[in-house]
Amino acid sequence: LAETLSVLDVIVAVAGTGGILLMIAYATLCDRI
Amino acid sequence: MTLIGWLEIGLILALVFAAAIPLGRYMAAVVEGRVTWLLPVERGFYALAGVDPKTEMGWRGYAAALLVLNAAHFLLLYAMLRLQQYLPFNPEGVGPMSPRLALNTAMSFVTNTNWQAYSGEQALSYGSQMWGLTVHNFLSAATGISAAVVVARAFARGGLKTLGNFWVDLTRVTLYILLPLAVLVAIALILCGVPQTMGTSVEATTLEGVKQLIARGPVAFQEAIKLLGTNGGGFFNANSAHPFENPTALSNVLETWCEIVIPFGLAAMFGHVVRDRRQGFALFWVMALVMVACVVWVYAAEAAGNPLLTALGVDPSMGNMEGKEVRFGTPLSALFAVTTTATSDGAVIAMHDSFMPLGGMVPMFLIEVGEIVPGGVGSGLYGIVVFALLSVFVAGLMVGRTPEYLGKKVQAREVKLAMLAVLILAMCILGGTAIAINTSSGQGSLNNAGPHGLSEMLYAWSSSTGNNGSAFAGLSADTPLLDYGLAIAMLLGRFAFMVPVLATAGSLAAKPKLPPSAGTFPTYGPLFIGLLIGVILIMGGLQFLPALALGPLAEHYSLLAGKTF
Repeated sequence: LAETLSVLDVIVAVAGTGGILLMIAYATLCDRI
Repeated sequence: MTLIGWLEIGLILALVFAAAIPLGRYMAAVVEGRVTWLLPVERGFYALAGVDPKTEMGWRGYAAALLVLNAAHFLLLYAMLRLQQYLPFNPEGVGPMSPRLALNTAMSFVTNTNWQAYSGEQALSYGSQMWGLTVHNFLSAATGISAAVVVARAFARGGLKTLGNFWVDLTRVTLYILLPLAVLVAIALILCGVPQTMGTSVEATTLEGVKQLIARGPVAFQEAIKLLGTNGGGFFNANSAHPFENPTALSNVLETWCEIVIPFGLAAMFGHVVRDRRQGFALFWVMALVMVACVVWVYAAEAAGNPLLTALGVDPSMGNMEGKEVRFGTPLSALFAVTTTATSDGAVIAMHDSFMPLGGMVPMFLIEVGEIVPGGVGSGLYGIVVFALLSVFVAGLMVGRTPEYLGKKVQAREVKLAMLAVLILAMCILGGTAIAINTSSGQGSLNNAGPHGLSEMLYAWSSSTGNNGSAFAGLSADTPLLDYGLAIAMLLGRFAFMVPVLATAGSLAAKPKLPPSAGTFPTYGPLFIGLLIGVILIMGGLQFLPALALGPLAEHYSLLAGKTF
């Protein structure tokens, strides 16, 4: 596994997952409209 | 254009419209809990997941559950694509995807886009195709339908803050609608000759004596949900133009039918859920009229052929055949190009990059207006409801009354949320194209110069933002700029549109349902249908006509002047 995965994987996986979860914050903003 | 061509198109559309209406009635029964033939299985899932099916959620809870599930699935799919060489069902020994391509692909399949910056038969193991992509074809389709169901319920309810239970909707949509249909279609495709095997590639000797590896695999089941779920990601790079994905005339009829039957059925379902079937049929008519007009446009453009080739003495009777399968010809290729972009499917049987400029412009425009005629599974229905809200708002402005839609007052909040959703799409498509086309990386991805090059880039951002997934295939998409940039566009195009729609649903559900009065604008007659079509076309035109003028329209007039790119 160590040969395949890298720091870039952590960054990319966190960015993708975090991007979708960030939509929950966006929903909070929509609620204030 | 030929009579046979029109008959082929007419037959397929008639089969779709005939099936969509009873399917809509069935889907309404499913989402209202009246279909129970798999109740023990359904209850088993709830027990396993610890879900109380009687607990209802408000719009924020519903959106949060939807987003958390999709985020978890993104992570799961990303890990599968990066670690596929360690996972089972990899008889060809396919290695891992690169991190950026895995990001792009995972986001693509979670968002129902199925943009493919890779060649499926070379880059993916059978395990990744089955557990990764096929599972997410179901999940993303069920997510979209669930969001559409919430919007329909919002109009059916009055003075309530809850909209249903996401886990129940997701489970029921998958169990009672997507899975049974997908199994039936997959069996039909196998009977047509589509492979469903775990065997490895086979070696064949060509007539010239050359050895050739012929890829195969578990294609049929992925093919079925690829079309029914308006996902579009092909097992093979050539997608539904590949003879193993779409081997016969009959399989092509079935595949085209699958692309649009659920989206049209959802319009009919809408009428049942809001307890006024006329409302569903009004949306159905809008979808059908715009889609059929687009089929006529594209068929006419492709059947006319390329005037420069005609001037060289090439027989124009078959039309523009570059990038098309001879077995499908111009009519079926034109129909499929429209059905795949009028929905969010993105499967192809012909290369859109090779269409005549005016023929290629229509698929691009259909994606840009939001794929709402009839649209992706679920996303098409909630998308057209957004435009319906804007239409009654425009009508209200004209006569000076507070607009209403289905007994709900449409006020500032709903209109602001609707405009937020619409403008997100334009921002991603036009902003992304403008940034990409002005970088050396973006220009390096283009296969053609001039307006056709702009069309390639514009189509890529339109397709990703609209969660379509088809491409003007000349573009080299596996670059850092496009892998990362288009992944962001897919994310925003899916969820930054869906969240304000769910917020609108929450707002509408909480309002009392008003009885119709003498001053109520009827939203089921020809006047409303015409108004809604006008709003869709005018808003699409205002946002995208300048970009289309620089791309396909400029290319069309250059072609007439004898210049190609």
